[in-house]
Amino acid sequence: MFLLAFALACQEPATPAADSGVSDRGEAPASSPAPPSLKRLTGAQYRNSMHALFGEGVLLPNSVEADERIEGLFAVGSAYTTISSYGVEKYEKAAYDIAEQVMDDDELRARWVPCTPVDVQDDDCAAESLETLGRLAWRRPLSADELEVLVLVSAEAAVVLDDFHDGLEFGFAALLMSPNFLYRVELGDGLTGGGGSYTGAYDDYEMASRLSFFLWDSIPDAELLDAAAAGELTNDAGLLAQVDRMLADDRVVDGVRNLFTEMLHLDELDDLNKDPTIFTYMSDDLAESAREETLLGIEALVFDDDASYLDLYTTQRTFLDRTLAAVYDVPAPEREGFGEVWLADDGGRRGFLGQASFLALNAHATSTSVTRRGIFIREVVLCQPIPDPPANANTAIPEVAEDAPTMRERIAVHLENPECATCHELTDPIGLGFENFDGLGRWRLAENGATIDPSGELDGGAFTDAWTLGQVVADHPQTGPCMTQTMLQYATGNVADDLDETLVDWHTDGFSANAHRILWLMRDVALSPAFREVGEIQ
Amino acid sequence: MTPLLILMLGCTAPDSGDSGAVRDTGDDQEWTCDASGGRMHWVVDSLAWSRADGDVSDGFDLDDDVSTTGGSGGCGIADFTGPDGSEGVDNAFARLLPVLDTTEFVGAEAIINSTIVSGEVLLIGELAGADDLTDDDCVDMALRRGIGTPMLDTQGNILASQTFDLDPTFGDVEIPDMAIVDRSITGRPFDVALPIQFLDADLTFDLIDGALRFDIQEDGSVKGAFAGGLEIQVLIDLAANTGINDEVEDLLRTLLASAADLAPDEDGQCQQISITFLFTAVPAYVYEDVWEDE
Repeated sequence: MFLLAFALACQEPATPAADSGVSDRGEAPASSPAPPSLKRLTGAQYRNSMHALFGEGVLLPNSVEADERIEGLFAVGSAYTTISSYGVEKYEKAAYDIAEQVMDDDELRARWVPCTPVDVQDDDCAAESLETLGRLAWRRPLSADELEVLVLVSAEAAVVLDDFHDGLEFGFAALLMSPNFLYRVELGDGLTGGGGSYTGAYDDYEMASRLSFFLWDSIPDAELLDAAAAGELTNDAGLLAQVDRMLADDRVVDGVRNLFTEMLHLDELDDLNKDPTIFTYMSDDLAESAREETLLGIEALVFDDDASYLDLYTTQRTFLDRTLAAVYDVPAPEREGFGEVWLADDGGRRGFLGQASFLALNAHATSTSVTRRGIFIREVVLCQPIPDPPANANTAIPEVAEDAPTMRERIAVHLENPECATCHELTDPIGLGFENFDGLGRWRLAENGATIDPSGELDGGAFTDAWTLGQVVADHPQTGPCMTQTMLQYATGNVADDLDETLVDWHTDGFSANAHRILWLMRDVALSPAFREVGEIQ
Repeated sequence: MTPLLILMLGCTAPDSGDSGAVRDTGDDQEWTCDASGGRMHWVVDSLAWSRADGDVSDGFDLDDDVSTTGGSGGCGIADFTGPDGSEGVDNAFARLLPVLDTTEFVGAEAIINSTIVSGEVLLIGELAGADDLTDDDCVDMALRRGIGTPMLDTQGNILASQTFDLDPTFGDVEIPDMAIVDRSITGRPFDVALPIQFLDADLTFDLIDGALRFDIQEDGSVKGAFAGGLEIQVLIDLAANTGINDEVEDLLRTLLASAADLAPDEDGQCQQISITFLFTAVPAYVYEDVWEDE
């Protein structure tokens, strides 16, 4: 049974984050905090948390409850999803399986059962073990009542099974299937301020959880919880110290990888489906290779170079394995795994928008899709939502005809029909810029014997092909602000409408003034009032 | 049992790719061939016997003679006419194929191709010094052997544009100082020693006074042919390993002896049979560090 206890203590809200001093944008403007939310751990967070607790060797279920994307992010959707009865069963089974693995593994058992039981039932030893694991798993200390229940479960099972550790296994399983583990209970510390206005702040343990899931996509470590216990996460200096520590920790790589996996929809590569009679380069490895290429490139951009986010769209540096090198028609840099490649000036391909992850994902199983590629640019890169097509819209792929050999001619009907044109004018001209890449991302100059014309315009920025389109995207005035908005949504789990526009602009100014560096933005957001303050429950 | 076919190419040292070869122009001037462009590679993805359609068959005039039935040249074995009308095409093996196809030998071609896609036979053609793939009067050709398991496309063919290692233990056939004419290259003569492990047998596939032609297609792939004289014993050994019985083997020996058209001995008996393979190849890369030691 899922138990949710919401305790809203009344405390003074934390002061707004100090500016990190690298821009002259001034203090954070007064803003309206977003309402609190109850977020279920995403699949990635569940896996990362289990690995953080029990190591990479622990066997986890292939899937738990499916995540839901809202405004493009699981981080936002996690506040709106429920757990189905089947999902409950999966979490329950996983909890028992993992607890059993812990007890069966000498090293793990020694770590999580730090005492030697004196009898089949040893409540003190059980309590010590449960308290240790519970603090990390629930991201806060267990209350006395909570601990008592867990000890009781363990004791009863131990007596029935006539074994202390077998009994404690039930207690551990109860911890790992608890809503206190599966949900991030972040409600703020209560009603404060004059006139009944709700200007609460997240408490220290909530901040620890928010920070760790934002920056590491995993649970807090012991040091972060210690800082929370010391009240350091609700004061500027303590928070800054922990944020900087976390950004310097290797685990931030996981956080950045997950941020961009969600943002760029790279998880959807798991379901990449292509007609093998058309796309003969399709293979079982391709989707995973494509995802890794993108993520390794982002790692290099963010951590090796601390370069501008905008470079993501123009960089000629990428990382390929043998599979992708064949798709890109370049020599493989390494015999095994990935190696660095600098794409040629005249190769037509550069940046994320020249990568198979983007090109193959935003295409049909049998062809390219100028609409999907255009929608991706609008919605993901520029944060300009495109309405869904009407229910009765004909979304069939236009047939090849003698007078319509290339996609440009075939989709002309979209732009001629006034009902379609409203949206397709926003997307298709962009997507046509990528037509030199087929539905898998292979380079081509012609389609059905006709030369492809990849030229076009994006909001006044003319491009001749995908190469120059990458620069137009990087130069687009909305590209930087969109990244800021996405980062804020990813960090807070809020929908865009709940973000304070003034505050978003303030962060955008800082991001721009600091060369659009991702780590700078992560730090800025982690210190932001939007991240620390909580509005009224709606 | 998985067929095991390993081709080992005659040993010469790899070239640096910038040969600067010298051609005798027939007058007092020396024409210097400076193959200055980069390297390009193709991997052979299919091999097939060059078959005959009546008196027409693809191949080469290997003995510089237009032989006729019962004539003095070619041990009295008539030459074919090429698809382009060229005379004197030596491809006597093609005359035997209709007979061989009625025996277990019919599987040999498929077995050879299965060893290609499995990576047991990775023939890599190298073109060095080409500035222009349409016409270039100075390029170097080499035939090398790749190693490793090739990636296959969804149709089961070798994936184009993949990268291979070259087998450092095998020598290479090098044919310097060639020319590309209208996207086609023809080179001869050269000898290729192709020791073959076919099923359980070690065979040597010696193509003697060989000839090579390949045509570069618009999509970057290559179609071509290579030919040479083959000791008839090699074919008998090859056939024996496809499971033919003794009776068929004797028949084959007789057939091959009667069809041999090259390399007559002192008694005028030809010891080799001309054979032509048709091949296709797709663009490939090789790991660049294989050149670092040169």
